[in-house]
Amino acid sequence: MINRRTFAKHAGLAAAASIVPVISLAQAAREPRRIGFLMPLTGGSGKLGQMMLEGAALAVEEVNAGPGAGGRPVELVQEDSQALAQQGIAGFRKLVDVNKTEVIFTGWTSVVSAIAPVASEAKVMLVSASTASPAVRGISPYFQSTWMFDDETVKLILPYAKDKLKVKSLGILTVVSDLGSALAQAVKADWTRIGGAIAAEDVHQPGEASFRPILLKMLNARPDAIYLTSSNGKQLAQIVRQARELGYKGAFLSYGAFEDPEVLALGAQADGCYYSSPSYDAASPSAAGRKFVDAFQKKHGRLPNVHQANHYDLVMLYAMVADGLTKQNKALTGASFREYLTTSVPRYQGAAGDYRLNYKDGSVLRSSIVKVVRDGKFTKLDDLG
Amino acid sequence: MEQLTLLFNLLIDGFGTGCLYALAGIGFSLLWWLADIVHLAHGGVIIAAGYAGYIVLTTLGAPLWVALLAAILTAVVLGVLIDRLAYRRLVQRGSGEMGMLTASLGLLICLEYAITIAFGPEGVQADPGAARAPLFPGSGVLLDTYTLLVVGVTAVAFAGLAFLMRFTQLGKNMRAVAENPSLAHSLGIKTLQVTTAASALAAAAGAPAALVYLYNRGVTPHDAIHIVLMGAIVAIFGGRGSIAGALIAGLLIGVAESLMVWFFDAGWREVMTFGLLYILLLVRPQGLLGTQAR
Amino acid sequence: MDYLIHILSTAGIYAILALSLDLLVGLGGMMSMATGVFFGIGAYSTALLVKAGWPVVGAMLAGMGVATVLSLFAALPAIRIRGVYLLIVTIAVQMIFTTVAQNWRSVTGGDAGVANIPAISIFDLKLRGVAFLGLVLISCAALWWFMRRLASSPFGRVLRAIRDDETGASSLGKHANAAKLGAFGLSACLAAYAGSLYAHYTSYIDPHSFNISLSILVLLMVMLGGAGTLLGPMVGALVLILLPEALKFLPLPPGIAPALRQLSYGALLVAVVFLRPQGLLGKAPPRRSH
Repeated sequence: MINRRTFAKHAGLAAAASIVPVISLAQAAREPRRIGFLMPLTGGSGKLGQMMLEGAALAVEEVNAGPGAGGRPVELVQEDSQALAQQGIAGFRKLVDVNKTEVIFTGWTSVVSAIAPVASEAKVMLVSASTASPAVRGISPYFQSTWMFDDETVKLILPYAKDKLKVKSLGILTVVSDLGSALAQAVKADWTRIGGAIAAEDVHQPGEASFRPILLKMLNARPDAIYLTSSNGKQLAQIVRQARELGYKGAFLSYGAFEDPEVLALGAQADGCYYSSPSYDAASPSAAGRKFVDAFQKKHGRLPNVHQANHYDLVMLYAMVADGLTKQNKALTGASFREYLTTSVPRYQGAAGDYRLNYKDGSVLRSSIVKVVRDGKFTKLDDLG
Repeated sequence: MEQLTLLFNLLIDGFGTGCLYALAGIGFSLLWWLADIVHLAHGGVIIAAGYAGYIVLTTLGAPLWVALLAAILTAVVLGVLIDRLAYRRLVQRGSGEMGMLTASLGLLICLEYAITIAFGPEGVQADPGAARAPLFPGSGVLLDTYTLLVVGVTAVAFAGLAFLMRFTQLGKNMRAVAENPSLAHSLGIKTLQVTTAASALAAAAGAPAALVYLYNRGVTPHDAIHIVLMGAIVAIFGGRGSIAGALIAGLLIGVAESLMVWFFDAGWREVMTFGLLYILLLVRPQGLLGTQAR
Repeated sequence: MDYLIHILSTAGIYAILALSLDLLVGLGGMMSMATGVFFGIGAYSTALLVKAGWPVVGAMLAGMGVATVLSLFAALPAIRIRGVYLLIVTIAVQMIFTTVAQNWRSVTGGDAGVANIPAISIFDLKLRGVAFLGLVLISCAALWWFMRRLASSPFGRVLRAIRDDETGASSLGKHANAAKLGAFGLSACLAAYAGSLYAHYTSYIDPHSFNISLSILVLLMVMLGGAGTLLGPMVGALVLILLPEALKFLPLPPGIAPALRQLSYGALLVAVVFLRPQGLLGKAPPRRSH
């Protein structure tokens, strides 16, 4: 029965219903662009992942304070991969199915190896500033790294060790994993090629925490330096600590994994850990980096490290692509992101240095430096090329 | 000559690890022998004790002996609580073996994850510092104060337990209860009190193990099940209830693990340990020095 | 809706696992921590064989066969030892499996696992989403029916005899031994089947999915649902898969949620033993007269 009350109710509802589409259209225009952040946030690599998040978060703030990315604000949706493949897949599923992200920032070889095939099928773009293994070279057209693969960085740090650090015999401690064996192979090949001797080699489980027996055996061969392949900051710290306790005074070599707060926490024992890194030096940044370093320092009260700079750059790169796509009047999807990136962005200048992106196999070339842990800080030593 | 030094160092290292395993295992072994309780939660208790020690060392800046006391206290409180609130009640209800095992497993998981929620999953580690400096630098032999301390504590703990077993009334009561609980009861021995005392002892024995873990490789919540598993292996190898057996078994396993590096790739260490356990259970389930299972 | 189908499919796979363990624990009274081993054998076999070109059905059967044969490692000791000793033997088998899976990289891919496992396809129709859920549900129903028949068969009676009265059952001699071997074999076979489903469903497997945590979880499902009731463990599987999903709606700081989930499993284990040892679906034990 239609009386005045129900009529008013219906009229009110009709009026509301006509406004709603208008509101949601306006809302859609300001609906944030969601970027997945599928990284270890807990566990042995958790501290590092959290630091990387800080870098990305700062960039998000800056982008949102301005006109946004392609006119819309940006939002990072975090999923904790714990650097484990299973968690990576579950996180990926959630980001794509539930949060509908088209681009995901991710890292760690184990995770990337697992999700890359799925990402290819789902046409979701993966960009990474924290995957080092040459095993992911060319793994998927939907994967792009902004961190150099370590079969290439190995070629940089080994000659440095031989010439400048006067290392004659090398020990190699390989973790049982794709990254570990790929690295060990590259190290062996390159080290012997430049005339170095291999003192000892051994393998350890990914979950190992007790290295004494292995180290005793290795140290008995008196290496001048030991190359560590683990990507777990806590584990690296454990190895260094226990080796120092056993009286090892030589150097440690690694790819970028040493730049981790867990290693700094060792204090004086961490002195003598050398590693290659993209040329970023918080103490004397480039012009592009200065702005970032100052903003980070202001927000957090400390200098940002190379990982934070790299992840800052990831967000800025995303914003750049989003702007480009909006100018072309194209919607941002994984496929269109990839299309734009591979056709219009051969090089990128970021806060962490410059990137020469190689889209044929998802790799990148960065100008590199060698750094060392000294007096509780990551210190640049020299340029590597 | 260098190979000999390496061997010696591996032996020293193995001895230290062995003491750790023996300490972790004796508590488990005692309870099993005395009251047929498979105290899987012992792993969680040890972890908790380790954290207590760590907090005392770092937050309060207290010296080592205070940390040890804190660890013992934490372990004993937890151990006794678990015994009285859980095991005793389940036994009184006639809960079967499966029920006890399940409950103990559940408690282990609760302890592990309560600690994870409170302190995070990364674990904590203490720095032995100067104690790790070799006593004979230049000789190549890596014997340090730390290892001597560990061996010393183990020796004291085991001597104490052995003395208790042989010469005190409590020890006699325990042996009576282990042998024949109903007979012991009819003789006037308060079996439940004896079990509680045993729980306290077992927990107390685990506390130094917790501190050794803390200094050696750090205490992580996730290690709980591995610790109790090593304890179980020691108890089985040594024979349940045998104090000497636990010590010998612990040392043997510790040394074997270290020496294995000499022969094999480090990766297969766990396979070796569990493979040996498997064979042992088939061939001689009562272990080296135990009596036939009841 | 997609997410709900995903959860139900996962629950269904675990229900089959729980059923397989109930055969050992509930009917036979033999506690095993080796569920992860046979789950894993099924998963790896099907993944590797299908990627090598085998048809899905063949690969699954091969996986189930390998699991059944390898179950002897756990079953043979069960003839001589029982209780805690048997439990520790199964733990040893589980740990060895995990280490082998991690280190035998040429076969299992080690820590990197096996990626890109195709979905099950019947006549070129890929079983995804609702279709896959259908397969899982049909499997659950069929296997449950089969187990019920088995439980009331002579084989089932021998198993229950072993569970309830070990010394009495030993008078059955050879029958008891054969029953133990059979129980482990069948349990492994079922778990391997679940593993095959799992591998094709998630498209990626690695050693971490088949470790002792999984064995503990399945044991919890059995105890929670009611050991020996067959249907109970399957219900237990559903409950324990839904529980973490419910937790996701609580506003918790990021690191806490997985730990809280595990804590709740532990608490549930204890609670079940104290409050309802017969599980959700089990019959209350008869009141004892003292």
